[in-house]
Amino acid sequence: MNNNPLLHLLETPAGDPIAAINSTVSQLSQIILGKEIQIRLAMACLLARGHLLIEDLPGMGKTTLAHALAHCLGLTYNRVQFTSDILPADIIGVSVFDRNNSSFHFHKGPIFAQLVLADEVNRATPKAQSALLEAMEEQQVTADGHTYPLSSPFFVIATQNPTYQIGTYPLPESQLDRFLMRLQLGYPDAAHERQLLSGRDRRDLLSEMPVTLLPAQLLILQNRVPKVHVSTALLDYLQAIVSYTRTSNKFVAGLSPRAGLALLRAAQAWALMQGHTGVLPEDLQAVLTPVIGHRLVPAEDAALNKPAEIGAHVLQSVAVQ
Amino acid sequence: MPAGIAMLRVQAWPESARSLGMLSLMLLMALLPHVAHLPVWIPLCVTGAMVWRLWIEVHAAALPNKWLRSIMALLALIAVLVNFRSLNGLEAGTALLSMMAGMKLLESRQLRDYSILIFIALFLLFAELLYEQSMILLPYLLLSTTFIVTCLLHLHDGGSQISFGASLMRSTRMLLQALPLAALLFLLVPRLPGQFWVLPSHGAATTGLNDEMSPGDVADLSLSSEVAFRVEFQGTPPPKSQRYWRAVVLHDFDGRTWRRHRSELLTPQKIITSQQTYRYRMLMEPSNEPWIPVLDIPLQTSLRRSMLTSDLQLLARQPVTQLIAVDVLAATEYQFGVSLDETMRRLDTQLAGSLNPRSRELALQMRAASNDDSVYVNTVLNLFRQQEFFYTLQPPALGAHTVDDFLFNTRRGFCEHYASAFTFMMRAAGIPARVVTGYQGGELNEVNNYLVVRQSDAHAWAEVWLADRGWVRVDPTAAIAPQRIEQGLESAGTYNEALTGHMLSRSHWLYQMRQNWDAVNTFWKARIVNFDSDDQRSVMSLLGFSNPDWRTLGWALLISFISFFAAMMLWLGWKYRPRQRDPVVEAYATLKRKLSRAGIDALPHEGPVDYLSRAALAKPALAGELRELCDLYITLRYTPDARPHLLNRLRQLVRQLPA
Repeated sequence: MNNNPLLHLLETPAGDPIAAINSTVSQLSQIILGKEIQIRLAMACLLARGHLLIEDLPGMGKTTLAHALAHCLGLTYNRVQFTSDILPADIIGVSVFDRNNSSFHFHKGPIFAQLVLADEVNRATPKAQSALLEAMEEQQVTADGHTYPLSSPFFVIATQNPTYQIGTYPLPESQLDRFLMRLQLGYPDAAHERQLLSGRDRRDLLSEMPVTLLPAQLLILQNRVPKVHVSTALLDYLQAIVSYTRTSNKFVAGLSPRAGLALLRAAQAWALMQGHTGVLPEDLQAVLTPVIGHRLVPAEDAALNKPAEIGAHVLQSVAVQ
Repeated sequence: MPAGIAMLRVQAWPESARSLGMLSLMLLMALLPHVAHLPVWIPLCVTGAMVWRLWIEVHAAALPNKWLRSIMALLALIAVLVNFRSLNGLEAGTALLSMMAGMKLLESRQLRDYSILIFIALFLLFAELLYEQSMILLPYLLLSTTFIVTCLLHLHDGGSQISFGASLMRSTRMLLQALPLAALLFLLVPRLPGQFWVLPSHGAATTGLNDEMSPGDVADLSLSSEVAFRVEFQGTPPPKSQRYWRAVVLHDFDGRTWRRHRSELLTPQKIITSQQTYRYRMLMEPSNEPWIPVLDIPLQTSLRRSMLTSDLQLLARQPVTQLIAVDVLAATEYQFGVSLDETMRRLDTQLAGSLNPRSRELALQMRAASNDDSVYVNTVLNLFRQQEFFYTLQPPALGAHTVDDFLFNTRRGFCEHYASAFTFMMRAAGIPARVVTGYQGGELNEVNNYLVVRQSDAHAWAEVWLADRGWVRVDPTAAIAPQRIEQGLESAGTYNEALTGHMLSRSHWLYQMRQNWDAVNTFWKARIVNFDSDDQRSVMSLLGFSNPDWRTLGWALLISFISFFAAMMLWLGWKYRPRQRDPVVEAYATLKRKLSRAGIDALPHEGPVDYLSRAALAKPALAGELRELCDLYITLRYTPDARPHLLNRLRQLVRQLPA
């Protein structure tokens, strides 16, 4: 039995990242049962250097997904439980006076990890929320005049309770925009639920699983995402989608240029995972709902309530170019 | 809000009321030119109907019910019938159409009714052209037509969704596009020689010549500056004193009134003329009378269906009711009627009963004192010249013995008085004589070298028969007021008479303006309104067709139309040419068409992979080809690996796919 859990990776051909991703996805699917599409989307989000917002009721497996992802990718992992009295210093860290050296010493907060799980982010006050979002945006933290870079890769998975629950501060639209995708896990179907109930504890199972993708490999893949070929035809299609959301009266406001860029990156990541040499319309369509679902506010009379409805409506309103 | 106020606030009108307001305005525009020749109650009724209809719309009241509408329509019909005693004819027709437009407005509520109103308005507007075709009307017609077409477009475009300005732009553009076609039709539609249709006389009072003359009656001579006819001479025109335009010859005299003879005299006359002849073309304004004024002796005319009487009146078969052009060859030095038959002699020496005894006595005395007839003529002219006779346009009325009264009492008069008195004196002495009325002089317009003869140039003179010389023109007015003949009527007035139409000629600038205006008008009448088969022939010969008949014209018209529309089609085809020329896209479109024929329609938002996988499931036999097609298409369209041979393969596969 080999002691080094990473040793087997050397046996996979270095140039075949798709195989590595596929094995990661199938491994994660054994932990989170019946949610392969959501797992793939989370992977695509990670590859596109975006951050992920998971919105669902408590107990749907949000935390497990984050934990499993960190484990399978061999990333350092920190979990921050957001509460109503959490302060920014609790997230980014604090300077403490060191009596031995007669100087201040910065104690890094939980944000200094490769994968950070911000649990129940909408239970914190806006002040704490914005400390997290600023760190996400800048990829660095500044305290006492010192700038500390965050680790690389850096991936935040924030979870959020549905906003109608008591004691929540819903993220404003400007901050929702910082997340590349928003996912909903949803209830498992009956067969998978039975499997979950009859099977072993997920945490035990996870600890036995090997790392399938090294951080170095992840960085290589992340660098390859923007290089995936985008044809003019696909750009036409993307622009048609964006311009539809701006001219349609179904939405309060259309997609921003940043949203268009996010859509393109996500589609590129998806195409890379599918092994396509160029982005296909289907790649774009696959990531459409998670990317635009939280960015568009439907007009009051538009009869579009769920993010899936928004995505389906936009998708069916624009012809493929 | 009090009733009636709401109607004044156009901004607050409902959409439908604004449409109706626009339609009412349009009807008013079409009706306006007709106001002059319709009885006043018709425009009033139509306007009343408009106000009523708008009131209904603004106040959301009910439309008059069917019975009321039927009764009103019937009343309108009866009113027109009573007024004109007919429903036929130009005036009765326009009256009926105007009334019915008003009635139609009262039941209009939807687009279909509006369209009918619009067509009625166009019809009314063009009916005005049957009355007159003057140039001054043209801008108004163009403006109104544009407005009406704009209304049509605007209402059909849904009114509120588009601004009126945009509709106006569009209709103007469309009318401009129609201009070449209109020009083609104008040039090439074969013209029938002569009048295309004879317009019914519409009873306009003529200010021109009458066929009788009563110098004794109180009559201010009408000084209308309306144009009687225009003449274009080939070569130099005769001097002013020679320009006598003969129109009507008056033989019968009852002591007060001179009249034409009841039957036309048609004995052919021998005419001897000098070498000097004048060839000219005359554009005659409608006079509603059959006679055509001609320069003294007409030798040839181009007028069809006309006759020349033995006293040399040129008569058209029908009254002249529209502008006509006549080519004439005429002479001003001539000799005719040397041999006078007995009937003629008796006719032209008769004097009614025993009226005017003092003049008869004077005539016999003076004739006895003269050696021969020509000396006697001069003696009478000298009488006018030497005694205190005055030329005036406002002479006093004459008593029962008109000639006596004039010669011995009033001694004031204009051409009619002198011509009448002179002719009477001749007849009293047994010399055959008659009165001729027509026009004298005319004003030469230097701008286009046209001679313009106006109604105010109307004149009367005498013709005396002298042995060996035949009929000789004698103008007694020339004896009393030679400037009338030399310079025209304006200079002849001895009293300070206001010649309204002629005040203009006092100012040089205004005079120039008038000449220019008349030149433009002449061009309009001669070249546009009166564009006939001859003009058509000359235009066609400019284009290289010598002497074209109607068949050539028809072909030319057809070919021009076909080329016009072909050019339009080419242009439109070029403008709306398909922009998509990508062969990959075209091949994929063909593929989709073929699969669609097989019952597998592509959804607009369906990507190629999804669509072709679905097709492969539906057509397992073609699954292999479809999979390859899908790969080729996405490679060519979405990846950087596009190669020409892949395109060829794609096209080949699409071609081979069973339809």
